[in-house]
Amino acid sequence: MTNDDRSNETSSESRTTPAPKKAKGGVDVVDASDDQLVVRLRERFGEAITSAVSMVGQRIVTVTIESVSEVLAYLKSDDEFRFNLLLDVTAVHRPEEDPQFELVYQLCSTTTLERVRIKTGLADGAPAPTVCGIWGTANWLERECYDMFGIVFEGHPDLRRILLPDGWEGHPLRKEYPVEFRENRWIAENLNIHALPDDADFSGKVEI
Amino acid sequence: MSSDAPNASEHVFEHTEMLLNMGPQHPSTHGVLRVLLKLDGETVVDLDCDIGYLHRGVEKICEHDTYPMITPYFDRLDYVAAINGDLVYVEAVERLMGVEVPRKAQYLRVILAELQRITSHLLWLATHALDIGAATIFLYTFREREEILKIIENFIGARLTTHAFRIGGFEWDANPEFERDVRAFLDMFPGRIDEYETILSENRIWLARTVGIGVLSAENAIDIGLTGPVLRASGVKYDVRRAAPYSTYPEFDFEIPIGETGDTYDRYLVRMQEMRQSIRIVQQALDGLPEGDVMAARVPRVIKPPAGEVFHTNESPKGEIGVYLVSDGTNTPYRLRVRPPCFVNLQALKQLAIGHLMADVVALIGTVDIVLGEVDR
Repeated sequence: MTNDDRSNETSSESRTTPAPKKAKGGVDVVDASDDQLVVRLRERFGEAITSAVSMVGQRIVTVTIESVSEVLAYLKSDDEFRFNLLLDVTAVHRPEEDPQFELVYQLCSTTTLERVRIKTGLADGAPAPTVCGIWGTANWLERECYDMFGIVFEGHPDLRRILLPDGWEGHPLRKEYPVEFRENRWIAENLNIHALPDDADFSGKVEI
Repeated sequence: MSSDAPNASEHVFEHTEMLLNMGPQHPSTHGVLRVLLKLDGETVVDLDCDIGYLHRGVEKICEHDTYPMITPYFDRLDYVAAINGDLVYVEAVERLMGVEVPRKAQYLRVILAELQRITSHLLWLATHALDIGAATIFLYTFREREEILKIIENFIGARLTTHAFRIGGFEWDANPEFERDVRAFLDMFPGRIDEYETILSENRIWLARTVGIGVLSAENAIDIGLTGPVLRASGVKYDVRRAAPYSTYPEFDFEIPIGETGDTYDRYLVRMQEMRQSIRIVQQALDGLPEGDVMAARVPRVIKPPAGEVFHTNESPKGEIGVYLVSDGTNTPYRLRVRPPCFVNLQALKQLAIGHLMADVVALIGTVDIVLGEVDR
């Protein structure tokens, strides 16, 4: 039995028996429709703003994927808000939901010190619009998103892997990608690791 | 010499571009950073950073670990400022859970975080100066850094990868000598900063290597997402301790030093000033140190934050470090994203270096102040 087989076996096991979910009520989610920023966004973009809530005192605005780059460009250029600092671009993978991906943009203004989180849903395999033209920061952050989730940013000037080596297989932060060590072709070819002891435990599982 | 022989001067002065590989094993790249340089003579024409040599998949591992197990991973992101990494993580979890941390623990956290900021800046100063050629300062800053590491070791039990905080406060109270040791350091240290400045601030070689090198305008710095001293040196007064206050920072009186021109020399000045401000904060926190417990009373034994999400950021010595935590109500995070200041700041290297000399690239890597553990995660 090769190591590849074994690790695939354990990972499929862990997929069929998910960790027990004992969610007791979540964090209080407050409707933020009255917020000045949300009112202005709704006036301008209407139906494109699908929800606006506040969680632990932080504003979260959900936007449709078609208009996300317009909304972000507006938030940056508008004189009232001036969200000139893009802190982060990342994604969350929820395989059981539709759409599977959620793109998350953390915005901040260095003048008003306001903050807002813009989220948008993205189907698996669908392209996302790049925001490199709006903030230079987005270049590397979107490359990391591509590397980790396989999200393709349309119009990105230099979309290639950033943390993982070229030729790596898979995108590790997708939920179906196992956390266990996998002896894949890249590792065998480049790092000269061909076999592991039979009793090696890479499951990384914790029982509490 | 025959007349049809090629003209020697034409050949020598012909413009030719050369590709030079710097790193990953190179002393001035501060870890395993590989920089590909396209040179025209000695001038940098283009540059590409190759990172990921230290990628350990921390974000993926965190999805499979319980909340208390994750804290030590944050020590190993920015491993020269482990306490600041711990702080942002435990605060993010506490914020999502709604845990009230006792005031004494908050004050102790501020003291440790500011002391750690000083160690980080001292290490930066030592290596940055060493890269440029000033070897003396390295010995001096390590002498003072060692004093702080001793204080941290006596309290926490470890020098570098500290695992300083628990979710809810501290595992134990400060050791009896803690206050005395910190006060002794505070008395000694300002004079030592003067010493460093005597060595460097008006040193002709230092000035020649830093003034006017890698100038960034405020607009440009914001566009590429810089935070921390690198942004403030360009004249932007943005510090998370004031912009989105956390812990007990609103209770302390301190200034945010900013630069004017945004060159390498300004970034040096800003960090030197920041060390003096950190001293002020530690002084105030020690003077006003409250009595009481150091652990919140109602922290469950099994940490299960309610389903929801939070984006919490801190001012680390390198810039704005953030944790985006998505919880599904179980004992492991559904998604944990680290917003790494070093990763984002390193992106500026290309803009900084183009047009400068090859030798300046070394100074510019130093001035951005990166730690590859956090860049690669």
